[in-house]
Parts: sequence; C-alpha cells; structure tokens
Amino acid sequence: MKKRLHKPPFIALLLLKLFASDEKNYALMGDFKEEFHEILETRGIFRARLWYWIQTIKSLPKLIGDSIIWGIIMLSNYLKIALRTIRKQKGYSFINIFGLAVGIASCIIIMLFVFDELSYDKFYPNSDRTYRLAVRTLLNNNSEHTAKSAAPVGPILKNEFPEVEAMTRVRNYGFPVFYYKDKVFSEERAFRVDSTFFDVFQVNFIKGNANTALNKAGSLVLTESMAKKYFGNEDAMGKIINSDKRTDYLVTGIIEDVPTNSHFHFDFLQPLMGSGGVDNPIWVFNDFYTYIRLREGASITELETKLIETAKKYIDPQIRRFMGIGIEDFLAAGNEFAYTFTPVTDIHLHSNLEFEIEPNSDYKYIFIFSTIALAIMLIAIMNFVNLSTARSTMRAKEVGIRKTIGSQKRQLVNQFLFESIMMSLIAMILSVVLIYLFLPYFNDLALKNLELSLFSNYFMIPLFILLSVGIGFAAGSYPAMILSSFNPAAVLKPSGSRGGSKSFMRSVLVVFQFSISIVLIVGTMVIINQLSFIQNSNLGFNKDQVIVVKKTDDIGPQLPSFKQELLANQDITSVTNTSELLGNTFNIAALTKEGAPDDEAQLMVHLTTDSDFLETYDVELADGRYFDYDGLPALDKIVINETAAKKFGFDYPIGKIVENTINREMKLEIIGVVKDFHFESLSQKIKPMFFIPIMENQYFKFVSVRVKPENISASLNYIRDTWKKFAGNQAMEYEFFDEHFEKVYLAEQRTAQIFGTFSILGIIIACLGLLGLSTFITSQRTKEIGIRKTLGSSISQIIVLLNMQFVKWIIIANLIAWPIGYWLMDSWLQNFAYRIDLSIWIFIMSAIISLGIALITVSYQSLKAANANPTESLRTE
Amino acid sequence: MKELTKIEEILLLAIWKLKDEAYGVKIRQYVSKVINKDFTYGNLYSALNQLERKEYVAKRFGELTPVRGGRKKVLYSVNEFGIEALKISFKMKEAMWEGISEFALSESSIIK
Repeated sequence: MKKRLHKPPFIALLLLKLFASDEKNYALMGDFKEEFHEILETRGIFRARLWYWIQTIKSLPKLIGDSIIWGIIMLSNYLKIALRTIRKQKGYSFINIFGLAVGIASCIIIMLFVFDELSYDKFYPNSDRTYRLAVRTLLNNNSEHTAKSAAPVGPILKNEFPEVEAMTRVRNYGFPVFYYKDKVFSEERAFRVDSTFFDVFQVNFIKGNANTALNKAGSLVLTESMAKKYFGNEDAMGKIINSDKRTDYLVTGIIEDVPTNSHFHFDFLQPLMGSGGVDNPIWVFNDFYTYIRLREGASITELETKLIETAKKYIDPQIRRFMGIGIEDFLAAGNEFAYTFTPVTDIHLHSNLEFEIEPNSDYKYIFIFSTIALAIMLIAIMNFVNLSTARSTMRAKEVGIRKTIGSQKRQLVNQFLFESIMMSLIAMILSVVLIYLFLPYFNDLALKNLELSLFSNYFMIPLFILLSVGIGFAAGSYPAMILSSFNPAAVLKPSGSRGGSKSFMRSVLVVFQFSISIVLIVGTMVIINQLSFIQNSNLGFNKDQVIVVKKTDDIGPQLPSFKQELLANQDITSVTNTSELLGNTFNIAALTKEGAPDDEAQLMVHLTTDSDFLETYDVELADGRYFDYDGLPALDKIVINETAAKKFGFDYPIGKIVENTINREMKLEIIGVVKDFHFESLSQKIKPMFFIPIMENQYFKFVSVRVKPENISASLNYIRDTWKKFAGNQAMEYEFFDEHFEKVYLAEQRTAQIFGTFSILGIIIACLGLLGLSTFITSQRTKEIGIRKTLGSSISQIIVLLNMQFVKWIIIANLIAWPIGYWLMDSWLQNFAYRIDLSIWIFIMSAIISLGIALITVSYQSLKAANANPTESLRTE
Repeated sequence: MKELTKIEEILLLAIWKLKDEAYGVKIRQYVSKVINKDFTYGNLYSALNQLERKEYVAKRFGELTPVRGGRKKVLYSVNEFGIEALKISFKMKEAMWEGISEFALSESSIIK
C-alpha cells in the first residue's frame, strides 16, 4: 500500500503519454515505471522522481520528432486511402459530396443574407448611441405609433437635455424637380435636414465641409452618384441647381453614396432652415423625423421619461386649445401620449411604425431563414452519416483485415474521420463554386447585393477550412465509431454478419430528415396558398389595367387639361387625380359626431380625390353619392367607407354631420358611403376612411389612368406623349397600379420565394441521400431477392417488399412533421388579418408529395433489383 | 545491405547478449554502461523502431511484472538479417584493425 504513494511525477507522466504514441512505443511507459521503481527501492523517492523528470525531458525531443515524422507518414497514407475510396465508389462519393456541397452552399448564402440584414446602419460611427424619436398616441382606443415627431421636440431635446450630444431633424417634403442646364430629373430621395445632420450621421465628405455645408439657406449637399448624374465629369462644387423652376441651390458638399444596408437612403440634403413648418410650435403635429445621438453612459429610458415630463408643459396649453381639456385630464381619460426612442440599428429589423421612411424588414424573417439554413445543413450532414454507415457493409472486410494485421481502433477512427474531412473539404470547394454561380439569382430573389468575398478578409479562407473540418468531424464521427468497432472475427467469417445491420440509427435519421423536409413542404404550401388567397381575394376594387402617372403636381394648373386630353383617347376610360396611391400610407385625422366630446373621436385615414376616383378604381358606392363638380366642389362634403360608418355608429349615415377635432367650426356633411375595399395589405383589417374632394386650385401627385385591356402599350405611348406636351423635358414616371399594389406584399412574396427555393433544395438533398441509401439496402438484399424470385415471387411483389420500408419511414416522418408544421404555420398566419385556414388537405397533400418523391427516388433501385436475373445474383457467392 | 550505424551495432549486440532479458530497461542500462553516458529512452525507442522497420530485430510480448504499471515487457531478439548485418560489420572492423594493437595506437599518439 505504501508503495502506491510513490508515484512518478504526474506532469512528466502526462507529457510522456502525450508524445509517446501507444501503437509505436507500447513498452515505453512500462519501462519508465519499472526503472523508477528500481531507483525508488535503492535510492529513495526523491532520486526516483528526479530521475523520472530528467529522463522524460531528455527523451522528449526525440519522441516529438519521431511522432511528427510518423504523423506525416500516417497522414499521407490516410490521404492515399481516402482518395482511393472516393475514386472507387464514384456514385456514392458524388451523392455524398454533392449533397453536402449543396447544403453548405445554401447555408452560406442564407448566412450572408442574415448577416447583411443584421448589419443595417452599423456603419455610422457611434450608431450604437444614435436613436430615432417615435410618438405613441392612444386616442379613444385608436392607437397610433408614428416614426414622425413634431417640429419643436428636436430643438428642446438638444437645448434642455445635456445627455443629448447631437440632434437633427429630417423631413421628406415631396419630390422636387431639379434642373441643371438641359438635365431635368424628378428626385425622390431629397430631404430637408438641420445643419447639424452630419453631427448625427457622420458620413464621409468627398468635397466640402461637414460643419458648414448646410449652414446657409439655399445650400445643397448631394451624393457622389448624383453629382455624376447632373454634372458628369465637371466639378459639382459651387454649381447651381434649380429646383422646380423656383429656387436656386448652391452645391456646397459632395458625400459618399449611402450604403444599401441603411434604413434611410438620401441623394440630396437641403437645409430645413427657412422652409415652411420648421418653426411650427405645435407639439402634436408630427411631420419630422428626429434623430439624436446620446452622450456616452447616458440612459435612453431616463431620457424618455424626462422628455415626456418636459413635453407636458408645452403640450398642455396647446391641447387645451384644440380639445378643451388639459394634458392631465386627457391622460386620465384613458388616452396616452408617449415618446419612445428606437436605436437606429434596430430600425430595419424591429421597427414597423407608421410613416417609416422606407419599408423595413422584419426580424421574424431572420429567424425563419436561419432555421431553414440549419435544417438544410442538418439534412445534408445526416445524409453523410447515413450513407457512410450504410456503406459499412462494403468496408467491413477492409476493417477486419486492417484489424487482424494490427491496426488499432484509434488509427481506424482517424482514418475514417480523415476520409470524411477530405470529402467535406472537397464539398466546401464545390460549394464555393455553387455560391458564385447562384448568388446572382439569389440576389434577384432577395433584392440584395450580397457578395462572397473570400479574399477581402484574411480570416475568410481559414474560416471555411475550419468549417469544413468541423462539418467533416460532425458527419464522420458516428460512422467512424461504427466502422472501427467491427469485430474482425465476425466480419471475416464467410457467412458472418457483415455489420451495418444496425439500422435503427439509420431509420431515425431518415425519419428525421424527412420530417424536416415535410415541414418545409407544408410551409411552402401554406405560404403559396395564403399569398394566392391574398392576391385573388376580392379587394373590393379593380387593380388591373390602371396606369399611374406620378408627380403630376409638377405640372400644376395644367393638370385639368392633361386629364381632358387623356380622356380624348378612346382607349382611356377614366382618369383620376389623388393625393395618395392605394397601398401607401395615408394621413390620419380624428373625427367625432357633431357636437360629440373629444373623447369620442375616431382616428380615420383620409384620401383627397377628384370626382372620378370611384369610376377609375371600380369602387362601389353603398349609398348616397360621390363628389361631383357640376356645382363647385365643397370642402365640407365628405364620403366615408362602411367601416367608418360603423365606427360612428350611424344607422343611416347620409346627411349626418361630423367634425374634425382640430377644426370644429367646419361641419362636415356625409354625402355618400362607399363599400369597404382593401386599400392596404390584407394583413391589415380595413380601417375607417373618409374621402375629401379636391378643390379647384389643388393639384396632387398621382394621376391614375384606366385603360382598355387592348392596346395597353399604345395607350401608354399616348399618355407619355401627352405628358411631354405639358411637362417638357421632365421624364414621365409611371407604374402599372397592380405592380405597385403587389409591393405591399413584397416581404411576404420574397419570403415565399426564398422559402420555396430552399425547401426544394432541402428535399433534393434528402432525396439524394435516400437514393444512395436505397442503392445499398437493395444491394444488401440481392441474394434474398434472387431466392424469392426463384421461389416464385412476382416482380411487383418484390417492388412492394423493397419499397415498404421506405413507405413506413415516410409515414412516420409525416406524423412527426404535421404538428410541427401546423404550429409553425399557424403562428405565421397570425400576421394576417385575412387568412386561410389550415385545412387537412395541405397536410394530406404534403404526405402525398413526400411519399411520391421518396417512392420515385427509391423505385429505380427497387425496379432494377426486382428485374435482375436471379441466377446472376445467386451466383455472386 | 546498408552499413550499420554505431548505435545500431551497439543495440544489436546488446539485444544478442541480453537474450531473454532484452527489453527496454535492461537494454538502456546496458547501452548507457557501454557508451558511458545516459542513453535516453527517446533515443532508445527511436533506434529500436528503426531496427524493427529494417527487420533486424523481432519483438514479442514478455511477462507482466507488478512494477510495470499494467504494461507487458516487450522483448527484442536479433533475427537473421540482424545477425547477417553484425557479421558484415565485424568483418569490416577486423579488416580495418588488422595489424594494429591498442598498444601501438597509444605509442604513436605519444610520439606525436
């Protein structure tokens, strides 16, 4: 017992173990121990331990050197064997490598997409401290959360709160038409901003000075590509651009283009200073985007609370004037008024407020796509595992022989691991090729500009190699364990079990793979069904054959004559001028019944149109009449939709009087009710809406033209020619209305397409695996089939027999996938106010599809095996 | 057949002499005594593996003694190729040393 305490030094022992590989130096450790004991007996523990250490340290250089040389020899041996195996079984290797490559490529493409989505607005310096102000109001249960805030809030933030380091307001004020010499363009991405804009958004100046560029009214900062568009190779600085034939602007700065991964793209910036509304003292008139940068270490939630307290002071007298009650009473009545700050880096994925500058994306899609990427990768890896283990029958003999001539289990594991890492490296190279080939298509699909830049980052290539080693390791370790554990005596016996019969794990993997595939199929079908439901459901108006001419306010007073001239063409049936286009965000007003108190106000969207709106869009009138211009149009006559009538609680709305809460003097008479129609995405419930007539001297920016279905291109040409007569050089901007209206479903459609594409890929990979698997399983049963045939089985019986196993797997996979698919897709459908029900048919269809695909895949092999001549198969041994 | 290196020669002779005692510990101790300095296990097994690869020696497992921490001895023996190589080496040495005695060697070095 006492001797047990006299152990060799632990660390030295460990070092020896690490570098003296067992298969070569089995006896070494024993020798060390024996001699250690000898010294211990004769000269004591201290001498013994000292000897052990010295001997270890002196031996190490040689041992390490030897094991490196040995490693290289083994590695080159592994490589030789691996290449030989890959070459020997071309079909199998192809399925394995190709499946993996498609999986990796899909995964990387999706990851590029996800990383791009996550990178929005992070390129601005200090973007982590930059916020946008939003205003949330709740008025009689009508809530509004808008990205716009009022004019005085920004300056107060900057002046009264020391934690606000910089502030700028941004306003989009319509589409100016810019003139320079013979160049005329109507610009959509022009904004008016405070001179402090560049303190918040620290963009790079190519020319000009960020501190002074917007100091004077009449200055203009434009982007590099805009400078090129107007001035070509001339120097843009100091040039004069005329806006709308009214005001001249002096170019005082040229900045770099805004990167695509921003929530807010601008081409032109003009000073807010001196423009209308900038000094508007009203705190509830939200028409500006307010951005701030917080001082380091300050708390944004504290600022939110402080701001609302300060704001109450200013709002109180104003709200008293409009509504007759103070702010405290207003809030006590159950209403809300609050400020929130959105981090600028969150806007793209997390913000879906009213009046966003550009439509944003949604973080949900990040989850959905990451999940798909993971699912596809899993399917591909499982293929690999499955095929490798199934193939073990083929290699059982090899393993047996290797073991008998002295291979250690660890060496075999290493060899098989090395093989799968080799394969995944090849797959990685192939996947890079696939990515280069298919990324452009994906970019079209996802409206992105993704690139795989292998050489731009020094870590990209090592990362890819590491990734493929990881994948190879993940995919190869289970098969390696299985393969290397064969008992040589058993597998080398002529009639012995050949291994690979442990098919439980294999069944689990196939079932799992197909469960994932079926969930993907269900998902795709639900998305397609929901989208076609949305697109084919009766919107309550006719979105087809309408051409929209935009920016018609630019021709101003000539608009009526433009309309008249269009109507002269017999292919044009109706023309209407509107303040907004259906599908865009409308303005909101709070209306009450005549004399009703403010707390009964209803928030309603409104649209200003001329008398031809109903005819042009085929909107039906439920009751009363629409505007007519036989007499003079009257501002005090409005038309509402059915939802609005319900909100007011009118049984018979015609002739009823309502009031706008900000101008109670004007009594609004309801002269008509239109039937409800979907002017927004079907993900929204129809909102209450009212229509205001266009006054004589009002000219709005959209003219919608209904044309006859024949000769659409001729009609378009006619419209273009007519536009030219009135607008001269300014190119006509137009859009087919149905295409415009599709855009409200852009995100959904994009998701559907991406989801569909990757589902198909996932299913293809799973089928590749199934194909490989069926090949091996049928080859394993060749003899059995031969015997069955000689005993009189028919071909069809054998096919049924062979396919039964797969059918069983697919049915189990369906049973697993259905609840998951139901739960996932039901939660997706919650996003829509108008949605399909998840009918049992979707699930039955996906079962039929999955079974069909699987059977087609395996039947080739089954047919071949069933048709084979039994004498051939029985002669094999 | 390649010429034996000095260390190979010493090892082969050691294994041949030690007979049934020719395993790691004993070989190392013997060689250390002969060359008069510590011959490390690293060098020992590196050289033994070389000899094994060149098929001069064969190895077999020996008994398991309690002091070896659960590892059997690995016993080495010189096989035909080894004997052959030793013979060649011996003949070469004989030819080289012919007519020279140790005494003569030390005499001449003094004269110089």
